[in-house]
Amino acid sequence: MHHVERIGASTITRVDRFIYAVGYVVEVLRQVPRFLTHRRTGSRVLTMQVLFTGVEALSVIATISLGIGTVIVIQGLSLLPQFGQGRLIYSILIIVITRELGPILTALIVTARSGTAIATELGNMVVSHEIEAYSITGINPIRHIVVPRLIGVTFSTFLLNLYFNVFGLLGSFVVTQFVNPVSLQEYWSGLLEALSMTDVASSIVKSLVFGAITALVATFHGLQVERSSTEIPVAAIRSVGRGITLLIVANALITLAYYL
Amino acid sequence: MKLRYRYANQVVGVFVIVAIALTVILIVLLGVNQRWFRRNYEYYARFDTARDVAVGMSITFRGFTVGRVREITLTETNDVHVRFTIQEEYIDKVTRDSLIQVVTNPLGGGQILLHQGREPTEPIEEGSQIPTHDSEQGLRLREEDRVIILRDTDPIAQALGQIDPILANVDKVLLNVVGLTEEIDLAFRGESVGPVGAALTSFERAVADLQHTVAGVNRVVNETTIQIDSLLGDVQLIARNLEQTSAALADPTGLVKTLLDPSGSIATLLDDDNRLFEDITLIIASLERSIAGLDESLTQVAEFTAYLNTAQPQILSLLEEGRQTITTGQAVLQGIRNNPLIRGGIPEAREQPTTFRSVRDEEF
Repeated sequence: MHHVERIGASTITRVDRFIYAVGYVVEVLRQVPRFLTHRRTGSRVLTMQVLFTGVEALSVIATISLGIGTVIVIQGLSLLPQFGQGRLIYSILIIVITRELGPILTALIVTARSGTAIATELGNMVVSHEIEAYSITGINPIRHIVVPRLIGVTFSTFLLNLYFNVFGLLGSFVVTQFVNPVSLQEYWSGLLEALSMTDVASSIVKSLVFGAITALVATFHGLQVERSSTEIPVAAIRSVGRGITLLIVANALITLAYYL
Repeated sequence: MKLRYRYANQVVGVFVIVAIALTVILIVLLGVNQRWFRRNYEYYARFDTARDVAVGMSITFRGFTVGRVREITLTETNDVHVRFTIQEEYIDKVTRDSLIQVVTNPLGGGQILLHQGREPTEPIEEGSQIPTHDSEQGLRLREEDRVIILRDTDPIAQALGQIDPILANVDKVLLNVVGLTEEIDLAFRGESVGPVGAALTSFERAVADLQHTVAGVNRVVNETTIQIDSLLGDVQLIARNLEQTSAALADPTGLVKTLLDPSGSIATLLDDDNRLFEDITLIIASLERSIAGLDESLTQVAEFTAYLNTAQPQILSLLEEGRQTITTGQAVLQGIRNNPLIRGGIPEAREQPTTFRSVRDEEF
């Protein structure tokens, strides 16, 4: 009887948390249009968020995408021409870099860098009663703290995904010049032939969804901190763990929708 | 304050503008490359199945992509209606008697080859049907050599094209093996009317005939042996009589003395009221019968020898045919035991030279 009681209590708690999280997401999304119409109040936060999440992560993204593009080209050009399918390298580059790895790797890097930072920052704000101060002075903390971070992280993820593609495909071209030299025109022609608008749309949708998930999870767990500073690292860890899980699930669902 | 944070707006602005510019350039290049602003001419084809066709599959002509598949639908008459487009700059390649062929491979995803009509004509009207390679119209065009068929350069597609006939042959062979197995089963059950059953039946009959022949030869030999024994008995009897007669003649006190003595046989012969004479006559008659019997026996021996001489080629022929039948039967059974697919079929028989080439070549 005791176990049944415990299972029931646990279920009710989880359902409550889920409903709370859904309510939080709805409230954040409801505040987005209001933030955009009254942008001046939080524009500095938004700019700094793009600077931190987007610009400062550019070097990491560029390095990783160059490396991945290089590996794909070397492996592909060593294997595919043996089957007379050398041109498949373009399709593989598009599938791996544009459609799959670009969005998810960018989102993982953003989660690791910015997700933890946001959760930590918001946790500290809660512990130092800054959130309470916002509320007391009549400022909606969701609109002025969470929404700029949501927009900034989402937009940054989208831009970083674009840069990931550019560096990945450019890096592969540079490597191609050492392995199997082709003209830039031929290379881009092959890439653009393999690229479709569906690939572009899939990549854009993924990057936007992943950015939103990263920001929402990070802010949610950051605001979950109650009073002790020892809760902050726990919130950061949870935000990364839950964020990565949700990213992978969302990636699978979007990829599934792409093939349906 | 770091420079980056002091000029955060400018840095973010550059970051965003570069990204937007790249996006615009990418979309423009994509549009140019994928001919968003160029005209395409639509045609259609009918296939039996949509298995090897996919939307977006390229249509190539001499290695150049000249069009793409746009739509695949199943009609009410269960035909697969494939709508495809040909690019504006290649529309002059779609002449009368042109046809299309689907070539697939597991890695490349396949493509559709456009084969141009042999006679140079104006491009066919947009929206027309282009026959497929395997359709009745396509077959007729190919038979009449009204279309230029080029081989596909995709090595995998070529390999698959070569594998297909092999697989078809393997399929046929397997069907034959299955049929042969069933035939052998029926043959062993005695229900087959096919060649294997006939061969087994023939072999069985030949063995039975051979056994019958051997039994006949044994019977003849036995009878002949009995006759020869009887003859030998007669000859031994005659020889014994002759021996006794010779012994009697050689004895000076015996038959001669008896004959020459005045009181002997001659005198007795002349003076015994023909009693001795009759005895002698009886003896001579007995000798004549013995000689006649011997003569008859020798005649029979001669006849039997002649019969044997006459029958020898036939017996040899029968024995040779029996041996060949057994050899052939062994080869057939060996072939059945050795699966032709696995062990190379019926082994080559080593020719066994006969004692003579044929019955007619033998002098008899």
